[in-house]
Amino acid sequence: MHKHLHIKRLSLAIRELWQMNRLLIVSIPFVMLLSFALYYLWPDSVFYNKLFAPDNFPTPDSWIQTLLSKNFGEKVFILVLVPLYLVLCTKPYLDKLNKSERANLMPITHIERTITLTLYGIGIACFTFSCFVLYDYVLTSWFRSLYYEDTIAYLERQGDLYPTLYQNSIFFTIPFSKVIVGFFIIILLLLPLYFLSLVFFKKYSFLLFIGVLSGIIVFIVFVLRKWLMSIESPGVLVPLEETLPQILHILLVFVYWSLALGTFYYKLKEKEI
Amino acid sequence: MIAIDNLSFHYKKDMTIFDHISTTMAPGHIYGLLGLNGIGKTTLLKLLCGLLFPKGGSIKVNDFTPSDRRVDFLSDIYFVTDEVDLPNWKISNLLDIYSPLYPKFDKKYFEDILTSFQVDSRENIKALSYGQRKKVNIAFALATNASLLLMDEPTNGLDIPSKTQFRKIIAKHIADDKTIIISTHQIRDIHHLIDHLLILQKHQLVLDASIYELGKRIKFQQGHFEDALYSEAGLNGNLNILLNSDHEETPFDIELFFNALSNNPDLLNKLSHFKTTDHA
Repeated sequence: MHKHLHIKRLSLAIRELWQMNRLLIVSIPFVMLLSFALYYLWPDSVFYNKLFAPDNFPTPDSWIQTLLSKNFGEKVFILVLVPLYLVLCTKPYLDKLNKSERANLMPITHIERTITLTLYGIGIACFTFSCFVLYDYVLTSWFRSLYYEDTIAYLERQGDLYPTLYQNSIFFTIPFSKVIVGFFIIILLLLPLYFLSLVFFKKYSFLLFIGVLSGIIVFIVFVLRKWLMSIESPGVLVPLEETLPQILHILLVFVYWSLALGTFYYKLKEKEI
Repeated sequence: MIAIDNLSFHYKKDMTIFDHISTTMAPGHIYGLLGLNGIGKTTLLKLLCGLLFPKGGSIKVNDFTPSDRRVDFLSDIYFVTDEVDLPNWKISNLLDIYSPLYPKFDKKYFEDILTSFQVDSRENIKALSYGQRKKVNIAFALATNASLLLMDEPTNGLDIPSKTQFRKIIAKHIADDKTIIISTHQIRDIHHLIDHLLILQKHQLVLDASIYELGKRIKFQQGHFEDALYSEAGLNGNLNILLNSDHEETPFDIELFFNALSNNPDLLNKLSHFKTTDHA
C-alpha cells in the first residue's frame, strides 16, 4: 500500500462516511420535497388559501391576480438545507477526528481523510443542489401547465398584448447560472474554512467557526467598501470584474483553498488526542 | 521491540507526567502497566501508539516513531480504550469497513472470539450493552493480529464468565511476535496473564521487572513474620512479602506487591537491582 494515498483506503474512508450518514443522505430528497411542500402550503400562503379557503378567490381572475402579486423567488431560502446537511453529515466525523482515539489510530492517512471530507462535502452539496433544481423545475413546469395560459389570457384581457412575466413569479425557476452556481461557489469557498475551524478549535468549534466567518465577512465588506469608495471617488465606477481579471480570481480561490486545506491537513496531522 | 529512551511528557509545563523514563519491551510478553490514578498509565499508552507526542526523549515501536502515525505502523497496532468508541452499526458493517485496513485481520478468529464471548455477530452495536460493546472491541483488536496490542482497563464492564474467557483468549493469543501491554486497576482479573510488571510512580517507571525474576527474589506467605518486607492484614491473617532466600516458588501476588510499593516506596531500595529490565 502506498504510504500517503491508496485508492483502497480512500474508498474505505468514503464508505465509512457513507455508513455514518447514509440515512441522512437518503433523507435529503424527502426533506427537500417537504420543504417545497411547506413553502407552497404554509398557512396563509396563496396555495393554502386556494385549497382551504377557496372563498378568498371568488373569480378565476382574482386567483391569477393573487398569483401574480406573490414573490415566489423566496423559495431560494430552501437552499439553507445545503449548508445544514453539510454540517449534519460532516460534523460528527470532524468531531471524531478532533477527539476520538479510535478514529485517529485508524490506518487511514490524513491526506486520505482530507480528500474524503472534501469529496464528500462537494458530493453532498451537489446532491442537495440537484434535488432543489429538480424539484424547482418540476414544480415550475407543473404550475406553468396549470396556470400559464390563463395568466397570459388574463394579462391580454387587461390590455397587455405583449405580456412579460416577472422573474420571481411562479412560472420561473430560480436562475441557475446566477443564484444556484453563485451559492454553490460560496459553499465551496466556505467548506475548507469550516473543516479547518472544526479541527482547529477543540471546544465550541462550530460557534467559533461562525464567529470567525462573521469576522471575515465584516472584514471583507469593510475593505471592499473602503477600496471601492477610493476607486469611485474621482467619479468613475470601476466594476470589480474588470479590476480583477478572471485568472486572478481563479488564482486567489486556488491559493485560498490550498492554504485552508493544507492547514487542515497539518492540523489533523499534529493533533494530539 | 519497543524502545523508550529518556521520555519526558507533560500536559502543562508545571505538571510533569514523565521525567526521563527509559525502558525496552520485547515481543512475546504480556506487560502489566500499573500505577495509581492519574499517574500517567493511559498517557503512556497514548504515547506508545502516537496519540500524544513526547516532550523530550524518544519512542520507537518496531523501528517506527509512533508520532509519525505512518499507516503501516497504525495497521500493526491496536489500542483498546477504556471507553468503547465503536460506531452504531451492525457488527458486519464494522467488519466490512475496518477489517481491510488491517492486513493480518482474521475474520474467522473474530467470529470465534465473539462466539466465546456469547455475542451474536448479526447484532447491531447500538443494541449492545457497554460490556458487549467492549467484547466486540476486544474481539476486533485481537483479530487484527497486530504486533502491539495496548489495552486500557480491558476487563472493565465484562461479566464474570467473560473475564475468564478473556484470560483464556489472551493466553492463547500471545505469540513470539506480539507484545501486549495491559493497564488496569483490576489486577486480580489478569494477574495470571502478566509476565512482566511496569509500575509508574512519581513521574518515573519505578519498577520494570519480569514476574519470574521478582519471584526469585521475593515470596508471599500468610502468617506472622518478623522479617517481612511488607505485611497487610487479610481475612485469613496477615499477608506477607518476604525475601525469597530459600528459592521457594509461591504464586506472585501482584496486588499485594503493588500495595507494598505504594505504601512503602523504600521497598524498592531493597529490590533496587530489579530495576534493570530482564525479559525472562
